[in-house]
Parts: sequence; C-alpha cells; structure tokens
Amino acid sequence: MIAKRTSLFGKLALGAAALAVSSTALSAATIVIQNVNAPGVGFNDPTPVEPVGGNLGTTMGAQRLNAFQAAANIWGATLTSDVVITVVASFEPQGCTATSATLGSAGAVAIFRDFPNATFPNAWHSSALANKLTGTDVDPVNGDIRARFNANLGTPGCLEGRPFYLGLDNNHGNAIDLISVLLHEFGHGLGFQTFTNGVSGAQRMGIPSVWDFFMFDNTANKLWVEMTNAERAASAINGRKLAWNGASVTAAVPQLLIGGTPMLTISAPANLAAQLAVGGAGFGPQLSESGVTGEVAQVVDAANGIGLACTPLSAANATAVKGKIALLDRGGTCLFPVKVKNAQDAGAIGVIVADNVPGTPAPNLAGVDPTVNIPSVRITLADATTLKTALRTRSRTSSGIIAALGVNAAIRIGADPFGRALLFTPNPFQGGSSVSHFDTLGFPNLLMEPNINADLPQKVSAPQDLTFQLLQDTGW
Amino acid sequence: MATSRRYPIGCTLGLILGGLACQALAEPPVAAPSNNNGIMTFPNVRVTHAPPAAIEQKPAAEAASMQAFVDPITNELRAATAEEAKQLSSADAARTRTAIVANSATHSSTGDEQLIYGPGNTVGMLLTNADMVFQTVHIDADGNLIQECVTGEDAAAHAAHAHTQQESNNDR
Repeated sequence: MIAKRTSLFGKLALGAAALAVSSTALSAATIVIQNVNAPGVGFNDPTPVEPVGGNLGTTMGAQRLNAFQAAANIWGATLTSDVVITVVASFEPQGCTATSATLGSAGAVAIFRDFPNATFPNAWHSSALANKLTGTDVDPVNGDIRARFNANLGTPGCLEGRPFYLGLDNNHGNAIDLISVLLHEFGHGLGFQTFTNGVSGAQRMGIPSVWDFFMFDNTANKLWVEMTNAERAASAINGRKLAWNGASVTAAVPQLLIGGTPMLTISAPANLAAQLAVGGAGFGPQLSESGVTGEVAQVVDAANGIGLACTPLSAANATAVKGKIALLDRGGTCLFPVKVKNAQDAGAIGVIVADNVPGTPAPNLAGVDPTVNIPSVRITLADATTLKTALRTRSRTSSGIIAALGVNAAIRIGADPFGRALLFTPNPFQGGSSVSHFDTLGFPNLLMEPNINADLPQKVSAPQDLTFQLLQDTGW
Repeated sequence: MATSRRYPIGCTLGLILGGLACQALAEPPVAAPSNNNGIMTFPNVRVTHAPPAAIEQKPAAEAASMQAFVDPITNELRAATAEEAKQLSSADAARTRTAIVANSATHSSTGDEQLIYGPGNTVGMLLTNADMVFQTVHIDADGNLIQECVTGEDAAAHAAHAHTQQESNNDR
C-alpha cells in the first residue's frame, strides 16, 4: 500500500517541505475584520463593561471586536499570504433556549478551482487559499470568510448567565472562551473543511475538494478522490479508519499526540484474536502498556441474558468473575462506576462494558468514583455480540477467552498505526461534525475536534496543535 | 469605531534574525486612545466598518453579472433561459449578495449554484448556510457546557437541542 503511493506521497512531502521553508522565511498575513453591524449593536454595542483578562475594551462592542482581533491575529501571525484575508463579521441574534444556543457560525464565502498555482487542478479550494496561491484576490467583490456570532448569549432565554468570556488570556474558567471558538471557526473558513457531501459521497458539482486528496481510508486503502460516491459515504462512517495523509500533519503528530491508544486485545482462542478499539473510563486507574490480562467472565443478572451489575453480584456471578475480567452490559438504572465497583467488590480484576446501542467508536465511560481501583473499558455493541457468541460455550468457571485491557504504545492516541492523524468518522454519521474534524480520541485535545474542549491553549500550530499543519498540506 | 493603522505584511525582523518564526515576534496588542472605547490594535489585523447597507444593497444587475447557471439535468454550465434569468433576478431583488451566502434555500444540488468567474480558467462558487460551520452549546445533565461544531444551519438546530448523544456523568 505504501509503496504504491510513493509518487503521490513524495509530491506531497516535497510540497510540504517547500511550504515549510516559505513559512519560515515570511510568515504573516493580514486579516481584515469587516464590521458589518449597524450602529448601536453587535460590535458597536455601547453598553459599558469593565476590562477583563487583558481586553481593554470599555464597551461590549469594543470587547467583542478586541477578541475577534486577538483570534485573527493568532492566525495572521501563523499564515503566509500576500493577499489580505477579509472576514465579514457581525454579532447578531442566533438560535437560543434557556439551556442551549448557537454560539455562532463561520465559513468560506466561496470556493474556487482551476486558478493559477492551485494545489490540485480541478479541485475546490477555499477563497482565502485561492487568493494566497494566486497572489491576487480572485473575488474582490466578496469577503473570504463570513462570521456571525450570537449577540444574545448569556441574556434571559439564551443560556442566561453563560456569556462569552471576552478576555484575551484564556482564563475563562467555566465560561465559553470566545477566542478558542473563533480560532476554530476561522480554521474552517480558511479551508479546514471538505465540500464533498459526507452522507451521499457526492462531490460538489462532480469536482473534489482539495481535502479529498489527503483523506485516506485504511479499510478501502484509497484516498477519497479515488473513491466512488458509495465508497466515500461508507468511509465517512468508518470509525477511526479515516486518516489525514498529509506530510506536514504526519510530521507534527509525534510532537503532539502521546503514545498509547486504548485497546482490548483478545489473544485466545485464535479465531477470536483481535485488537478492539475501546472507550476508556473517566474513573479508576489509567490503562497502562502492561495492562491487565485475564480470562473473560460474563455476568448475567437480568432478562435476555444480560448483566447490568447495578446491585452486588450474586454468589454465582461473583464466583464467575473472581480473578477475571468481567463482561457487563450498559443499561439499567445505575451509573457506570456503580457497575464497575460491584464487579470489583466481587473480585474482578477488570471490566468490559458492552454498549447497548449500535455505533462506532465506543464512547468513554463517564463517571466519578475514587474507590474504583480496577480498569474498565467500553466496547461497541457489534464487538460485544461477537464476544458473547463465543461465550455461549463457556462453563460456570471458565470461558477460554483471554483478554488484555491496556494501551498499544506503538499507536499514538488520535493517530492510525502509520502515524497519520485520524479524522472524525463516527457511525452513525453526525450531521456536519463528521469528516471535517480531527477525531475526538486525540490527546492532548486538538482545536479542530468537533467538541471544543475547555483546555485548549489558544494555539493553532505544532507543537501545541495540528490545524495549521493540515492547512499547510492543502497549500497554505 | 474603525481603526486606521496599517501594518506591513511580512516579518522583516524575522528575516533579519535569520529564520525566527514571526509568530514569536508578533507585536503585543496595544490599547488605542481612550476615546476609542479601548479598541486595541494588533500587528496582523485591521478593522474596517461596513454598515449593512454598504454590502447588502448592491444592484441586482451587478450581482447577476457575476452569476451563471448549471443545468439541473446535465450539471453543465450554460446560459440561463429567460425564465430562469427572471427567477434569479427576482430572487436577487429579495436578498443581498451577502444574504445569498447566508440563504440555505439558494443552495442545492439541483443546479442553482451561484458561480463566479475569475482570471483565466478560475471558477468559483458562492457558498450558503448549508456550508457554514456552526458552533453550538448546551448544558448537559451534569451542568457542564458541551460545545459542538456542526456544518449547516439544520444540523446546528438539531445539535443545539439533541442532548442525548453527549456523554455525561449521568450517562448509564
């Protein structure tokens, strides 16, 4: 597979190297924030406010504008372009309820193909990237990025009491850090997005996006640009199998993503041997490379042969799991730590929780209990079904199925076995989150995961982040 | 409101110092005069003020001159028929250039893409709200703020109200 792609990989590597030299020599771009709010609202809101977190604005509008500028400045200092990048920006009312809200939206105003110096011919590029590559503004009429953010956030009926944190110092506590949100959204507007439909696999007007030349499916062994519509649609839900095959990102992955991907390794019987992707637990000990190895024992305490373990295990179940790895089922009225603690109290050395709804990848097990001292993981319903089928032939005290809960140190968390960053491809498809983000498994957390995490460092480039490296691969 | 200071593109000092990354050399933000509501200036950013009227009242004819039709059957670029041109003009009269970008109703795969022609063989397409990336937030069962990034206005509306997909400590 690798050898077949030497030519393309080589071209990409040379391109990335040239870009790296270029960005070192002349790394800056000017971003214009075009304030399109009417007087008295949005960026022009005259409501007096106290300066916060290094934001010296004395009105709500001024603080919003300063935060926008601060985020744009981070991108401007990182990108290289001789053409200004225009962000048409406003604060205006957006959808809200008391407990939810649209924070804002952003994206490229237009996409372009077949311009001089395009990264790939006959492929869609974002407006700002097309400008950078041509050295001219290919569309002087329209801006490059449109950004609208919620002017009502934090007011009655709109997530009241939870406004944007407008400080510039990332000291947002439990509030919503506007700069982190803006960095993420500007990233999409700059080109962190495929314009190919992830549900149908259809390319926009039959033309691929520049992204499609870098998305590589480890099951199909193809790039998206090489696939049929049906293959792309399948790839978009091929959990943790779609990787970004760009030289710049792959070179930066070791600087950022830590080694050690959580795995459930089945070593016996031979016909079941596999390494299964798992969701980790927010409680109990961290999975280690040495891991916990033992025989798998199934708990059965409810109808249909499932084991909820919401109450202390029966004598028969306790006998079955003692000194073994207990297989339990999600569901019932108790939280995950309760299940694991009950297995622990019965002498289990680890726990596998079988999901009860279809979908990949298996989510983490949430919860808190400092008294849990055995490791636990969640597996998908599909993997659990396979495991339970094999367990039908078990005796009361032995299953013959040997498993290890641990991490594969050779695979960086959020990357594939070849060191390529994974993209977000859950099954079922998540409307709009899928594909055009990094996988949520990545650690440390990445700016361009679909969920913006509270611990982001307000950085866009390695060694703290991979967003700029991905844009570099596309031609930035 | 608008600031007028300009900063040169490039990083001369970085070149002089032999390859130091400009990001490390970025000038710190400074406060503008106090009579400007504390609006700050940043080395790689300029602010302009364009009230909505300035960008949302362009003549429809100007907009139409930048547009073309894609045949809904063949997916090929072609001239609009008189009826199609009339429909487009009518639609343009009801929305602004910016609103075209924002109006998801104008985007579909049925051939009403708004195309732009640039130098040489350059072809562009204006995007719509169906392509915009929305950031949503909701409070989960544990009281935590959960942010989610989705593409398209419909997906955003769904994400802001679909809480069941999120993990929380109350998940079971």
